[in-house]
Amino acid sequence: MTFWDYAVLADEDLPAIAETAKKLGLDGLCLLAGKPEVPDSVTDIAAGVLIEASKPDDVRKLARKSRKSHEIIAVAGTEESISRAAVETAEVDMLIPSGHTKIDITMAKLARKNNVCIAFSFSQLLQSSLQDRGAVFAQMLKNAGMVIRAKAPFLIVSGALSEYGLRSPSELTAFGSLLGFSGKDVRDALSAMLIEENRKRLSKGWVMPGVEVEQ
Amino acid sequence: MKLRRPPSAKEKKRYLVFRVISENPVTFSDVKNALMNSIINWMGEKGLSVSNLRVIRNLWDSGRQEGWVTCTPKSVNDVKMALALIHQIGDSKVIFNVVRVSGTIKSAREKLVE
Repeated sequence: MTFWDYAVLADEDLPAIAETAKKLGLDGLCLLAGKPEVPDSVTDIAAGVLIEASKPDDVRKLARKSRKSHEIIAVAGTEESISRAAVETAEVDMLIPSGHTKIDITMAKLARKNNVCIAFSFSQLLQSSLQDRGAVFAQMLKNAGMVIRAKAPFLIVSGALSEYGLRSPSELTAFGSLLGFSGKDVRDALSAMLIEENRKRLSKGWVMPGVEVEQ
Repeated sequence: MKLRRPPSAKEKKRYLVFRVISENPVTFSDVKNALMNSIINWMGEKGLSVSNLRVIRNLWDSGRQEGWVTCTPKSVNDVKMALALIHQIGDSKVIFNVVRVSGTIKSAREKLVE
């Protein structure tokens, strides 16, 4: 089984990050900050983009604009209106709610309808102060409850800002289990399914779901 | 006659083998302090006592920066989470990576060799 970390926000020292990811047992990384230029990388690296919009309309515009040039499109859910716009946009692959952003049942159902994954980022716990960590984890538990109830897709990500922010699949699985997800769902959340589907869609032969032109 | 507890009544445990990836090599006492602080922050003192956590000094490998802890099977995820939340020891940034979870030291060693 292959394990992917879909949200790495580091933009410096990319070869070292790829090396550490390999040591930790990750098969692929999606870099959301800047263009990944890592020659001879030991791990598979995907080019993603993190949309940090100030208005909900910007989310739709930017997502549609970057769909063909990026393998993963993520939206930083800093406010509820931004998160709502992200789950309403089918072009978005994943929504990363900030530590205190609420996901309600309507948003979770929209995420399921539009196939937008709700990401749970380990770095939000790692970077929060000891006083704040409880509140951040409590909000994550509530959001996870909504995701389970609506059967919405989700991802477990490290959200690493440097190579020392990366975590192995073993730790990310434990994080997912503590959020209340089943073992199989957590393994799917760390698998390469999303990137394989997106790469297939970005290939020249793809026309629409179920229709492909053989080269 | 000496009363003996049957083996089936023994408390089950899990051995977690972890590796420390760090900027500078770390010592066992640093690792133990960081681990205990993180466990108390994450699980609390009650959680620590329920998990029956032990850090095994004899099995610390300073060359490979590899250590062992034991806990109850129910608290494995919490212990893994507490290990993952350690990001700094002194001035050096670290990653704690759990490489193996096993019921016995022997089987964990065999799996590590594989």
